[in-house]
This record gives sequence, C-alpha cells and structure tokens, in this order.
Amino acid sequence: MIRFLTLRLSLIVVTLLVVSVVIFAVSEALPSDAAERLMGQYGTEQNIKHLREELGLDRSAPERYGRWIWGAVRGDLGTSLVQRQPITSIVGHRLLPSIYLAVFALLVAVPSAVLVGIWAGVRPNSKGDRAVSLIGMVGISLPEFVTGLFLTIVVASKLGWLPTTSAIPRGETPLTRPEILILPILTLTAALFAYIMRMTRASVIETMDSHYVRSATLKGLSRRRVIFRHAVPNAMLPTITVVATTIGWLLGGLIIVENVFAYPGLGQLLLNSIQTRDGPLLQACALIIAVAYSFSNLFADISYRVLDPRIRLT
Amino acid sequence: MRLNTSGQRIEVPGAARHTRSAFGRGTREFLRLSLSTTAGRVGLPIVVIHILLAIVGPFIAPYSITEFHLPPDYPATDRLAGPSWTYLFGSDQFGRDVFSRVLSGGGTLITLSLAGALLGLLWGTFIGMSSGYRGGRVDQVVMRVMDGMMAFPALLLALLMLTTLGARDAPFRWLEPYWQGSLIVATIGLVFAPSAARVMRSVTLQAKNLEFVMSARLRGESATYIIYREILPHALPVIGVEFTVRLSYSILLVSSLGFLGLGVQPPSPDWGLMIAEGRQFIGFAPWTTLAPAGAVATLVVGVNLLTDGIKHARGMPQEIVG
Amino acid sequence: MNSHAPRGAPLLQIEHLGVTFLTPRGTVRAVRDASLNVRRGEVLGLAGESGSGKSTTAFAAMGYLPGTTRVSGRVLFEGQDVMNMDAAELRRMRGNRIAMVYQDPATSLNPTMRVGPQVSEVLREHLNMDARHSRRATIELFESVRLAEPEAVLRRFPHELSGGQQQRVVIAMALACEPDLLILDEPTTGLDVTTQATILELVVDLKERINAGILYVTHDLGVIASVADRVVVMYAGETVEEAPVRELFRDPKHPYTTGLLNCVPKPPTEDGATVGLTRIPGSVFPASEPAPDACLFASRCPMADEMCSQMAPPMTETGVGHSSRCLYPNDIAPGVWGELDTNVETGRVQGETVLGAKGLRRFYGSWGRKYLIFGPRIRPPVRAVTDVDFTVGLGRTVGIVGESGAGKSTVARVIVGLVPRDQGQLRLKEEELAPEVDERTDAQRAAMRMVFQNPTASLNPKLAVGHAIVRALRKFSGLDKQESQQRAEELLQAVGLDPAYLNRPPRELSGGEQQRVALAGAFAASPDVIVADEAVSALDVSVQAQVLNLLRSHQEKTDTSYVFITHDLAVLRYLSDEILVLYAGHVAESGPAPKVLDLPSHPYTEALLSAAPVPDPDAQRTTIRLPGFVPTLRAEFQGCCFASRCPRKVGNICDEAPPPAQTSADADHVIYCHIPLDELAQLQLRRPTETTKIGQE
Repeated sequence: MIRFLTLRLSLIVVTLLVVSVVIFAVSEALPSDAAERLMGQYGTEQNIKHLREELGLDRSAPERYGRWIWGAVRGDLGTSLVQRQPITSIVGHRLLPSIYLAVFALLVAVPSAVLVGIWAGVRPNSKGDRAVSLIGMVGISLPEFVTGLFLTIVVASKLGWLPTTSAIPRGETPLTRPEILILPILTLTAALFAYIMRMTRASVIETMDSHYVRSATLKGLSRRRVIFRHAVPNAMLPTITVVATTIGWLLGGLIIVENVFAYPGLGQLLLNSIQTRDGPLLQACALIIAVAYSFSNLFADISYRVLDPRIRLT
Repeated sequence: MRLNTSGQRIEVPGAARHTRSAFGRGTREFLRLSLSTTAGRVGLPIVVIHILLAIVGPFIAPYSITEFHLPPDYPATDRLAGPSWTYLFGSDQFGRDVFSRVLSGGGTLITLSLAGALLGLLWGTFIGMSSGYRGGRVDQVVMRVMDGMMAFPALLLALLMLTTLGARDAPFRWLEPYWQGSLIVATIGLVFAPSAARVMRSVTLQAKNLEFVMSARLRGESATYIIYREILPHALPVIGVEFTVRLSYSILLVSSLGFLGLGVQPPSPDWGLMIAEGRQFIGFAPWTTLAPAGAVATLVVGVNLLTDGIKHARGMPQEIVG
Repeated sequence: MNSHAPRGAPLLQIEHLGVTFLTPRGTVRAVRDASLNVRRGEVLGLAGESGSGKSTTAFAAMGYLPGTTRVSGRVLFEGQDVMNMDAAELRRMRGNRIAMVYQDPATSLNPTMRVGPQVSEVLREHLNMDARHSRRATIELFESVRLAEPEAVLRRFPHELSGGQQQRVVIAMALACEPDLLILDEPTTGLDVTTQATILELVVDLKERINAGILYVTHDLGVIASVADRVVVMYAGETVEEAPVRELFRDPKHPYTTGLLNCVPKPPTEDGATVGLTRIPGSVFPASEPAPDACLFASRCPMADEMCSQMAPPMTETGVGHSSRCLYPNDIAPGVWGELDTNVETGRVQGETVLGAKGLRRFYGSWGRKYLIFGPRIRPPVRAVTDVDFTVGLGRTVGIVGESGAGKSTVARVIVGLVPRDQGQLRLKEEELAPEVDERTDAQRAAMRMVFQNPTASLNPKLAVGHAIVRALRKFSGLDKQESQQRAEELLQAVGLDPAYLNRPPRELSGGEQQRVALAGAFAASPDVIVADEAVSALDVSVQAQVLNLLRSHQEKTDTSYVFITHDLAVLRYLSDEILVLYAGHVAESGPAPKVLDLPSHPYTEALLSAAPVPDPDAQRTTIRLPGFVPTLRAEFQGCCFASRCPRKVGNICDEAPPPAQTSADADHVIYCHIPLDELAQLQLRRPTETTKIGQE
C-alpha cells in the first residue's frame, strides 16, 4: 500500500506538472502584455517598463513559470489584470458556491443513479429496464445548456415555481437562498445520473452473467442474496472509476450551467477571464479545476484499491 | 466468435457471404449491424435524416439566413414572431426565419464534429499504437503527457486551446474563411486524442501478445508493417466504436463551444449560439431556443442510439470505461 | 438424507433431453437427444469432445439453462421433473440435494468475498445454521477435502489460494449439505497433472465416503478410466454409447468411441515401438443445423453405408448395461479404423547437432525497491528460466515438459528470440544466434519457425488464411506473388486442407484446421527447427491426433528437428526422442526419452509420471502426491528448487546445496539430485506404498 501510494502520489505530481505547463503556455500565448493591460490608458513607456520589471515580466519564461508555480504552491495566485486584486481572494469568493453546486449534484445523482442502475441491471430487457434505458439515453444525449433551458422554460417560465436565474444577491449565500440552487443542480444531475446509471447497469448485467453469480444461484441462495451479496459488490468496483470520470464531466458542466443560470461560481469566473483575456486569472481557475479533477481520480484509485481484495496486497 | 456455457462454437449465420470490395463489405456489415437492433433501427434513420438535411438544408431553406424580415410598415411584427406557416419555427430577435437558420446550422456542426472526432481518432490511434507497440521509457513518457492532458475536463481543455489558438490570425489569406472552423476541429482533435490513444494503446498491448503478431515478428516484419497491417485491422471494431462514441461527445462539445460564443462567428448560424442568443427571450419567445435545442438533442440521441445498437449487435460491452 | 426412492433406482434420470439455445446470433442445438441415469453410490462418467453438449446436459440436471431455450424430453430427479419446478423448489434442491463443481474454480468463486463465508452461506441457507455452527461445519468440510490449515483458509480471498485449493473449496461448498447428487463439470481441466491427481483421488474417496450419485463430466478418457464406474459418450448433442467402464475401454460398440480411444497416444510397447494414432476425418456435425434423418457421425465414419444416411439410428442394447447408437454395433472391431501403423524406434544415432543451448537464462524485471527508487530492495526479479542446456539433433525431437510456472513457454520464446535471453549461448548449426529475433538474419529466421498453442489467435482474424504463409514464402524463399500463392496452395494440400481455404477468413475454419494452417506456415520455408509451444493442447483428442500424425510424417520426410513443449506426458512420449523435465525454471532431468521415462528418475519426474491419468481402467495407479506449491519464481534457491515438495528429500543438504548433475553410465542422461542414482533406483523400485505421503494443499 505504501508503495502504491508513493507511486500514485508521484504520478500525480508529474501529471500536475504537465498540467501547469499547459496552462502557463496557454496564458503566455494570450496576445496582450499584462503590464500594458494593467496600466490601461495611463501607461506611458516609462510606467509600463517599470511595472514590467515589478511584475517580473522582463524575465525569461521558465523563470516566470517557476515563480508562478512556487506562488501557487504557497497559495499566492498573482494579481488579476482586470479587477486588480489578488486572485486568491477573488477565487475564494467564487469557489464555495461552485463547491456547493458540485457536491449537491453528486449527492443527488450518484446514489439515485446507482440504485436505478442496479434495479434495471438485474432485469435486463424488461419493460422497466427499457424505460430506464431510454431515459438514460436521452440524458446522456442532451447538452447541459439544452437541459437547463428546457427546465427553465417549463419549471420557471411556464409554471413560475422557481426563479429563472440564479444570481446571488449581495450579502447572501446559496445556502440562504436554496431555491436558486434547485434548477442548476437538476440540470447537472440529469447528465450525471444518466451516465452513472448506464454504467452501473452495464456493469451489473456483466456481473450477473459471471460464473460466480451462476455458482451462487446454483448454491440455492435466494435471488436477493445472489444480487446483493454476490453481484452488486463486484459490480460497484467499475462504478467507482466511472464516478471519478464523471467528475471531469461535472466540472465541465459547471462552466456551462453557471453560465446558463448566471450563477456566480468558478466556471463563470473562468469564462469571464477568457472574455477579458485576464491571463493570471485564467491560469488560476484552470489550475484549480485540473487539481480538483486529478485528486478525484486519485481518490477513486485509492478506494478501488481498498475495496478490491485482489489488488490490495500486490 | 463466442463460446456458450458448454464451450461450443456458435456459428454466425451469413458469415460466409462475400462481397467484392472492402468498401461494399464494410457498408453491408455496418447496415447489418445497425439494423439488427431496435436502437439501431431508430437511430440510423434519425442520423440519416440529419445528414441529408445538413446537405440539402441550405438549398431548401425558405428564407436567407441573414435576411432581416423587418417590413417598414409593420416595424415590430416580424421580430420574435411565433411559429406560423410563414415562419415555421417562428422568427428571432432580428426577424430572421428560425426554421431556415436551423436547417442551415446542421451542416457546420456535423462537419466540424465529424472532422474533430476523426482527427482525434487519427492522432490517438497513431500515438497509442506506436507508443504501446514500442513500450519502455518512450511509452511511459508519452502516456504521462496524455494523463496530464486528461487531467483537464474536456470542455476546459477545449476552452484553453481555443483561447490560445484563436488569438492568432489565419496564416494564409485563403484559409481565412475556414480559420475558425479549422481551429475548432484542431481543438477537438487535441482534446480527444489522449483518450483514443489510451484505448488504442491497450488494444495494441493486448495484440502484442497474440500469436499472430508474434509470428509476424518471427517472420522478421518491420514494426510499421506489424502495427498497420496486422494490428490495425484487428483493432478496427474497437476503432469504430470509439469513433461513434467520440462523435456524440464531439457534437456535444462543438455545440457547447458555440453556446459559450467560441464557435463559428455570427452571422452564420450555429445551433449553440442560437440557443445562447435566444435565451433572453425565453419567457415570451421560447421557439428561438427550442428549435435549435431540439435539433441538437435529436442529432445526439440518434448518434447514441446508433452506437448502442451497433455495440449491442456486436456483443460488445455497452460501455467502455476510459 | 431424506431419500424415499428405493435403493438402486436412478437418482437422476435424463430421458431424450433436447436443448436448443435461441441466441441473437442464431440457433444452437446444444443437446439433441441425450439419455442417461445416475444411481446412488456410483460415478457416471459423461465423456465427449467440445461441442458434444455434455456440459449443457449437466447444467440441465440442475434446471439451469439461462437465456432463451427450447427444451424437450425430461430431467427427473428422484422422479420429479426438474424442468417443471418453480423457483422455490429449485432453490431448495440446488446446493442442497444436487450440488455442482465447475470447470474453472477461479471464476466460480466470488473474488471479493472470503472463501469461508462463501461455504458457510450454503449451510445457513439450507440447514438454518447460525454463524458459530456454520463456521465450525465449514472448518470440518475443509478438513474433509484435505485443505491444510482450514481456519486460515477460511479468511482467505480466492485469489490468495492455488488452483488446487480453490477447487477443494468449491468441492467443500458442494458437499456442504451432503447432496444426493454431485455433478462435477471438468473439475480438473486447467489444473496441473499433479494437482489433478490429488483431486481425482479425492473424488474416488468421496464416492466411498458419501452415499451420493456422482456425474463426472470430462473430455479426458484417462480421467474417465480412473474415476468412473459407468460411462456415457456424447457426440454432437447425442448420447452415442453407454457402458460399464471396463467394457467401454475393452469392447466399445460405437465407431466414434473406438476412434476416440485410438486417438490417445499410448506408452510405447516393450520393444520400444509406438502405435500410430487414428485419424478421424472431418469435423463435428454443426450445432446450427437441424438434425437430418441420418446418423450424425456418418460423414466421418469408416463403416458408414447408405443405411446410415437414410435413418437415424436409435440407442440399441448390445449387452447388459451396454447400448450404442449405431446400426451395426456388432461389426465394430479394433481394426475398423484401419490398421494402425506401429513405428519401431530404429535407434537412430544422435546425428549432427542442429540447435544447441547452453546456460540459457531469463529473469523478468529487476529488483524493486520499497519506495519506487528509494528504500531497501524488496522485490526480486522473476527467475523464469535458470541455466537450461540442451541440444537438438538432426531430425530429432526434444520434448520439454513441466507444469505451469516451470518456465517451458519462456524457454520456447527465448529460443526463437521473442523474449531475449539474459545469459547463455544459443547456436543454430554453426552460427551463434542473437538474443532478439529482430537482430537475427532472414536466413536464421527462416531456419527456425514456431507453432503456438492457440490456433484461433495464431491467424490474424481480419486477414485471409493464407496471408501468413504467403508472407513467409515471399520473405524467406524469395518467391513472387504468383509463385508464393501457388506454393501456399501446395502447402495447404500437404497438410490435408482444401487449397481454396487460402483466401477464406480464419473464422470459417475449425480449431484443428487453423492449427494445420499454422503448421503449413511453419513448414513453408523448409526450416531446420520447429519450436512447438503446447501446439496440440487446445485441441480435442481426435483433432490432436491429426496434428500429431502430421508433425510426425513431416519429420520423417524432411528430417526437421522439433522442440516440442507440452504438459501432456502422453503426447510427450509419442513424439520425443529426448526429454527435458523442467521445474521452477530449472532442469530437473534430461536425456533420451526411454531413459527419462524409466528408472531411476528425478523425484519430480517420478511424481509427474505417476500422476498422469492412463486411459485404462485396470492400470496400476500409485499416485505420489506433492505437498505445498510450486515455489515463487522470485525466490532464489540455495539448494534444490524441488526440496520444499520433494517426497524423497534426504535432509538439510537439499535445502542448502544445489543438487549435483548426476550422469548415468552413457553420460547422456542427467539427473539433478542429491540422492545417488543407484540408491534412487532402489527407492523407486520399492514403491508404491511406503513412500507415498498424504498430500495436503
């Protein structure tokens, strides 16, 4: 296990290094010079040169990369070019709402998807299974912005039950206004649910076809015991990996969903930084999302390892 | 070939039929596979209709996509007009015919998605097979870079790539009209390459230990010959499935980029962008978003149904993780 | 036991069973007409090749036929039709009254559940035992199937047990409720012979200990001979012959059975002559076709006449408890398949050496450290092959034998260069061969060809059958496209195949045909040496005989040398001039075949020979059971690698000093053992009784 953890942790360090290089290269390629942008219309030749030195922009790219990464490790993500504030505090305000959204969506989607997936998987090709499969098919096919808009049109516009946008008034948090969270969560859930449910179903069908489930049946065990003691625990192993994969999808979905509902989270911030060509801010947002995704994969790997006795000891 | 519980070989009916050309054989096989399940029988027509409309759409569209229907005597009536016989799907905020715009928007989306998925697959196949066959340190380094790229959610990676590439102008004048589209295709290709590379690498690693590959090595065949003449045909079914799966993701991704305003530039119609623009009128003119949304939805549902159908008919697992 | 049926009445009665699977890929008539019965206290052997429907028949006895099926006939368990039982009745019967042991124990046990609970849940389900009682009963069951340290095994996961131990757990699970009927479906296929021998012994022991009927399904006639009381033979979904075991082997009444018996290679006779093998032509009647009004074996039968293709023969009684599905059961004589040629070993002298290996060594991986590249060295490399020497003479066959983990496949791959050797020399005629195949010359590659185990994988499924042959011809013989095409057709004809096969996709060929294509490819460039790695292991006996005959006649014609790798002693005896016995990557014994198979033997060879089942019910059986496991190849041996399991271990010297190479008088027979040869011969003459150990796993 120690050997595995060291291996896995060193892999994630390598991965994140690749990630940070990509991100740094991207924001390097943005056309405008940060110093010019910061000075705006007041920039004189002299001022800009001065600021450039102050920001370290006159140094070589590898050196700037080193400074950026070192800062990021210590929690200093630099200064936003547009808002002219420390990025760490800007991101700090936006991070929490996004976490609420992501966590709630996972809490809703994962258990329900797994349950429905098992339910459908043990009765393949029945009417219920076909109905569930159809829902799953539609779910994975609809882009988040389409689902979000359908929901808005029906639930918010026509029925008027919920607000159409999810902007958070000043001084409030998503937790004080839970109603604004419902539509974004539902939208995110739709795709997650469909994807995890389909995977769980496929995995359950495969396990139900295995020799050890056959031998459990031929031991004369009750169907309930065959399913819940023999099939499901084994079928859940691939589902762990699937959930980790979906987190990548979820993070991408956040960008869209926050945009659809004007929800003030990290995804919106990222889009703003792209529109305003705010390099340092873009770097920070992308880095945070990539780190979150990498660690969710790490977490899945470890839990797989802990739950599957076959690889626990090797 | 599959084995049943008693270890017998199940003969595949019609396996002995031969058609002359490889293309004919492929087409026939594709049709047979797609039409042998309900999912395929529903999905194939949807996809075919979408493709046909994408080709002839611009020619049968009743109005020009850029024509503003603002008759001088009725200043406001033809803006955001509801669906009628004049404007089948209503009109948008500029009074443009939504039906015509939906008809004309499919071509770009399908072309870009197809090209992007293909490019990603080509890249992935090349990288994955070479790296997997070679093995050793090179393989380790290549796969770490792929891992690094896969640490980004697809949409984020696409956004980053487009932002970088999009900041530059077309290097040649003649490329100007296609520049934006090419960038999107290149982006999708880059985003999808790592996962395709992973799949193809694992196929190659498996095939490397198969007897027919070993006997090719014993004949003294070159690595290139073995990869492309022996392993590639063997991997074709996997490539086919990977392609259809990527195609549906590709459509989702291209339309999402359009929605975020990073697709092809207006005024040329883009379903994602139409939805984004129609959003503000959602309360009183939902048709401006519903029509393109429905178009995207049916297209992806069709592709996914077809994929599921083919996978089912081939007896493949319904999902390939990773 | 709650049997109300009178003693002697059949426990299980299968009457004219037909099972058809309706799959999306077509209709499979797995069982067409099968009838058999099993009585209490007897072992009924159900024999047949792949596709005969024997396993489906076994599963039908448990009422287990998943998917869409069409069933005809009756399956009566104690007079009650299993096919008409409802779910609750089936559940009460399965695992309780009828229990089953499966072919592959590794996949039949739940991988994420400890084995103890997997056994005790049967007890709790059927006998309503509580946790404490069921745990104790499970330990007793483990003891009764001779699992060592039963309490420790209880807490293991399946992957932590060896194949033999896993199968013992499955058997314990089947015995849990003292079933009335025990079904064993190929329980030893895939296990090593020495493991198989101990499992078979357990089955024979069970027969005496429990008052149950046993249905033993297998393709291996040797196994049938050693366990069964009566035998039913199946072919193409039909039972074709039923007889008491001795009568079946002495006086078979169906041409298929006769042919099958003559397909199994037999040990050489006293004067060193080997008996040739019957060649059953053609292949099994396809399961996709409905049965015509004819004998399904007619197309392959040497004595078929018009009647055979005009009416389907019924099962007819030919003697007490003996019946046959043949129109002419009394015309069947040993010579029905033609005279078998006997092949007297002419005592060819060892001619010129074609291939010589000295000190071949291959270790996989390097020392692994605790924390990636830091910390103490904790994982030694896998020592797959350590210091193997042999020479192959012109036109001769070296047989390499050993069980799983012995390193025989690695030796094969090292020879051809698929796996580079770490140390040692390899000379082909006068030339030193490079470790890797890519570094060898075309001429060297042409001179040494390989045949693999799995015929289906040795042809690229997406390319025409002839592709590999044509490529080899063009590369090695420098023929152009047209010439090589023509030559390839000749080659196919030479291996007894229709030249039209050349352009077919491989999936249209049967396994045996595919293996013959692989042989044609190997013969293509007239090589000096052919390395065959388990080349007949995946084939049914009748097909195996075709391939063995082909190899033999090719050698006689062309003086090609073979390196033949196998785990099957019968095949080894049939083909080899010299034998190399491998254990845990080391040579245990080597020399001319008659000397290796005779005394004195290395204790491992002795155990191996005693464990191999012989297709003769009256054969003397003295199995030497080996305790423990094959040691991990990561271990570095101070002494003899066999010491941990050796029944003849003499003391600490075996663990401490590497065994010396003892050569017999004529210097070509080498045994690596500490016991002096004459003493070893003395010991081995005195077997069986005193030296056998109670084997435990």
